[in-house]
Amino acid sequence: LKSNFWRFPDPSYIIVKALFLAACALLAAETPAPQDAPRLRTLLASGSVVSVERIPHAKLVSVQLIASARGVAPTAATHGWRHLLEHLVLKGPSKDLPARLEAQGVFLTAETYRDFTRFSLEAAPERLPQAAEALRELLRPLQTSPEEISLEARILEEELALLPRSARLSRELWEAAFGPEGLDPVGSAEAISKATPKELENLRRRHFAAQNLVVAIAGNVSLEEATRLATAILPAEKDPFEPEAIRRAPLSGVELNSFEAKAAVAPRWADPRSAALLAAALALASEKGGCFVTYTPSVAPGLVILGPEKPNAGLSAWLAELRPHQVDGLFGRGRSLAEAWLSNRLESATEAAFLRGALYAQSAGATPEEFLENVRTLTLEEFRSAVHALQGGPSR
Amino acid sequence: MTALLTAAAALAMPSVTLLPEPRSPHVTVQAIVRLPKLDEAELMCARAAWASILEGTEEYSAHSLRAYAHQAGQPLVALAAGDHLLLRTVFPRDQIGTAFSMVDSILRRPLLLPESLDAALAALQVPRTDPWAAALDPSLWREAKPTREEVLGVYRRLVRPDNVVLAIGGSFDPSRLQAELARFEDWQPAPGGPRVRPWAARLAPAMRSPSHVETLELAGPEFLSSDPAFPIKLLSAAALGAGRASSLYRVAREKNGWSYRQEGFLQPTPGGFRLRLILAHAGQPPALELIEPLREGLRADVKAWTEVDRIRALGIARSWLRDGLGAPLIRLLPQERALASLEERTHLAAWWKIKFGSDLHGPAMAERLEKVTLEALREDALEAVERASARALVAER
Repeated sequence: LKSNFWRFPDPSYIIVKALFLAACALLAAETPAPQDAPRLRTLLASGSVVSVERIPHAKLVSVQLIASARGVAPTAATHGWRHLLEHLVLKGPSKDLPARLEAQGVFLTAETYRDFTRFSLEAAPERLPQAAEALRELLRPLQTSPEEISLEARILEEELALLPRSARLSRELWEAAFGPEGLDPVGSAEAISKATPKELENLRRRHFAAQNLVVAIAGNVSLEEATRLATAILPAEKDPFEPEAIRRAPLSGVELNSFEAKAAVAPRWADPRSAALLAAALALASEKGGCFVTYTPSVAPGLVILGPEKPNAGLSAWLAELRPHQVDGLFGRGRSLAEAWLSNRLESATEAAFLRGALYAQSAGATPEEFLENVRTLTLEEFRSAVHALQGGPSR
Repeated sequence: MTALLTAAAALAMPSVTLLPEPRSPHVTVQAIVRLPKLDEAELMCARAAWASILEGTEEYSAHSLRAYAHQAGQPLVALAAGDHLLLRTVFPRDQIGTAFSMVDSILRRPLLLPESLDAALAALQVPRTDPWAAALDPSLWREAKPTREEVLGVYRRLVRPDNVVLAIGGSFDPSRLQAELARFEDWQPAPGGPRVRPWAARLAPAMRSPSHVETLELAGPEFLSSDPAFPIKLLSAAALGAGRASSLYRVAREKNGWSYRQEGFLQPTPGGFRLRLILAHAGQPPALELIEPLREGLRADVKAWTEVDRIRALGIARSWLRDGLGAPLIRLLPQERALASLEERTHLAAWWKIKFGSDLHGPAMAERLEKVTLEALREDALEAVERASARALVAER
């Protein structure tokens, strides 16, 4: 499974330094036990990050391994290799990892995004040790053969054929907006079929460099215990090279107005204009009906996309005919939708682990809270400007 | 709680299923309407009416229904499943009154305006654009001419207190709940209206894929929910079609590379259940030429099952029943992927009661599954695969 975007209703994040634990220890007798603290982020000496969040009402525990795509940007010749690697790694070194996990009630899935790859395990809370131990297998050297790659390339071709309409529209827009830096993470069948076991192992070593790795855990768990389990499976030392930051900039003079779906460049996660665009897109989608919205939280520039679920839905004309008072009337709804979207994600173990892990994998300083703050302090003028950008005009 | 349920039964109001989760920040209020066996035209009317119920009520405009739902960031949902209709709301727990007010209004006083119904009837005659969605629900009607009165008649015959189950899940105060449920005490069934003319619509399931991706399905014989072999059939569905080590996954994906996506599950029907094994396929050979190779591959795989396969199937079934994790073995809604959310677990609990006449008790069901032997599992799966009918949505190549 892979995807090049997060689709709504969907994402968010937080960054917390070691927090509350020390403070709690200093408080009086009625002070909650340390494990009652909500979150603990640990930056390991290797550069890897462990993020644990306690969600008392969660029915399941989510354990996620997220590998940043720093240093493994695709070229035309390697377009989709990370996606192929995800398929191969998922099986585990003995090729039966998902089956062994399923027998224990642990469910493993994976997705490749532009800025990271994630492996996600869901289980009942008492299965946390087994889920964490599975990560150790995912981090082992790749065991594969040309025959396995050939079979997997055929499966990937099948996957490419099944891409939903929203993903196809998104791919067009990203390539128009960012050129080669906007290549989708799904890949091309031709490039994928040319990968070799040795090249894939080289890619895996760079992609899974210690500095690129985050383990994010969320659920009704003990922060200390979960942190200990995650730390035990991550590398002890830094890799000898420092992965390059992800670089992406919109092409100058880019024109996105001629596409069936509408998009605007979200500067970066923490920029208020990104929050404004998301609020605007969600409000417009809810008003028009039959639309999708996509945005993958990224510390690099990305796209907020508003698209029609079905062809010939008249989205462009509808947007063009919006009157100023109608736009202003959507302001409150947009703000509540964006806030609810983020809050709901943070209440779900799987979504919270994903959001926090994905943001940590990109930057140690990014937090869901800063986005939430931007949503709450959104002004009408910022909202109007975002709607204008989605209508095809330049941001004002 | 018991008092609430008893009161519901005594007043002939909708029956009630509760899934309390006091620590949840949300409350979900749902209505489930049983779908009996309907003829083709009646089924179309039922689906058209249900597709229109969110287009406004006597108290709420379509716009305000959406606006209220947005407060929680969870859309209102009105969906048709194989054996029931589902209306679902999710709200912050302090807004249970809004949830009940909306459900009450939508069920009992929907506008069902002519233009909404016309649009819904038209939509049921248009092929789906997504090949997987088309495979999951290939229903398509032709020559549809039901009148508004016929549609309303079907709606009134179905949506009546004795055919509706209200399901409430999440965090709620029992005394507040009792007050909210009182809204339904005066619900008198409306006169049904004219019967639908059987020739008003004809069901003509899709045969062609809407894209170059084809789909192939093996559908096992229908069986009753009261079938004593139900535990065997449920576990058999897990071994055959659920997860990344099912027979379907091994044969269609790992051994032959025919398919990226494949799913197996039990589909509820008004008469019981049916096993469905579905795969999507875009390469060569065409899907029609894969029917017998798929059947033969599954047969060989099942014959080679060991305790490892039984234990894996048990692991999947236990997780689904007890924790709502993993692939749903019974697919209540067409696009359902997992049941871990509050609203999905509430839906399952209510549906289970309708289907089986008793509460879902995951651990007890899991115990029954543990008693299924490898031999029984193999025998059931082989019979299902051999007797399965095949359906392909073919593409123009």
